[in-house]
Amino acid sequence: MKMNCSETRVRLDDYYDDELSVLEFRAVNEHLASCDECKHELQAVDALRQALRDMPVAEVDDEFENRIFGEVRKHYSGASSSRFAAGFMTAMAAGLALWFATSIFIPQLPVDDASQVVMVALNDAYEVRLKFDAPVDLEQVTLSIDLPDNIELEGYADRKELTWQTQLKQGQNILALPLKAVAIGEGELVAQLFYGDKSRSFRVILKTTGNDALIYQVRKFNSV
Amino acid sequence: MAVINMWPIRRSDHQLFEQLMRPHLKYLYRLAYRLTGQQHAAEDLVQEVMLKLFPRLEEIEKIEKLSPWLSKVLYRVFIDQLRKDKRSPVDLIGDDESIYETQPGKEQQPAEVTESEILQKKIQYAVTHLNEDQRILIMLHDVEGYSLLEIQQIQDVPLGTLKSRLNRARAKLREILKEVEPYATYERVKGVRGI
Repeated sequence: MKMNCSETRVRLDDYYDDELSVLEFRAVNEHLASCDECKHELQAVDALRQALRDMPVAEVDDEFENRIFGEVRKHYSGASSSRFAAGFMTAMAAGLALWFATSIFIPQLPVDDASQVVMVALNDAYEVRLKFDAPVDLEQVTLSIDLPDNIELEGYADRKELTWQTQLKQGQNILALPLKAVAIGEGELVAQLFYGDKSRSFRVILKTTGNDALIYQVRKFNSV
Repeated sequence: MAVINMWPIRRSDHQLFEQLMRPHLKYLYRLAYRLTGQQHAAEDLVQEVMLKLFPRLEEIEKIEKLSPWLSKVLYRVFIDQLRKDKRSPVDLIGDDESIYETQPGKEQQPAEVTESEILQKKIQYAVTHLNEDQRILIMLHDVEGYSLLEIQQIQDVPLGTLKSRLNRARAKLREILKEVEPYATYERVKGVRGI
């Protein structure tokens, strides 16, 4: 199969895209080997394609993904459009986390009961981390979480109380709670830990203010 | 530091949706940008697609290859919007400029502008003068590198039809490129053959 210049040129784009039959590909190759004009045309195809591939794309900012998913959450969750929900969500995006220290079974250690105020915005989840210090490895520890009406645990919209058995390692143990506000208001999250005949509990107050400030406050420990 | 084991993790619909969609978001934005030519319009298009898809979470979970499916959904939403815009008597003007709006030759060419920058301007201009079907085809195939088979899946158009449309689109593109005067002048000065 032999090709002249015009037969070759109409096939140059397909040749460039590797979309010719084997026979056509060979024929174009043979022609190009002996024709500088067509070779030059192929270079022009290459230059044009390269320029097309180099067409710029305006970059999105870092908040693009959060913005997109935030709108989806807002659109499909009527209650989550409250100011309270707004608070939780951005805080997580910002990587904030509050740490509530406790010293179960070691009464002499101080309890971190400092209040904190976190400015937060709409449509994100917030992770509250509870820290437990254990003097030794502990098996068969029972943990329970009670949530106020205005708070949900992500994935457990239908549960306000959760109780389960776990174990603690010697030293610091972290329990991360992915929370989501579903209504404006104020409420207490109560975490309780039971081991044998001993128990400890603490409370986290969660509320919004008029200016979108979300206040987290840990109340003092109560021995039960 | 030890992590306390919680009860079995149960993801919410939103978490699952975001987990499935997040890896595709920037890629979808890129496609949207190629179709719309505007950053805000592209972001809005991706947003619209996500809003439409969330209720279809169960269906999405069963899809093995999400990328081509999502491309098709985005393309259809884009075409729907295009049809609506054409029916609308009001011209919507975005607050960001289209990359295709600058006409080569209308602005001063600084001395340091390179040949590739001139070609880039010229191409951006030429692309706007293709009809919508031709522009989309060039964008998908020659700019973003979709194969004809992939485009066939996205557009539901027979392969042969696509191929001849693509050839016509390229011929039109080259014709416009040759007509762009500043670059033609540049070519004459440099003694470079037109492409």
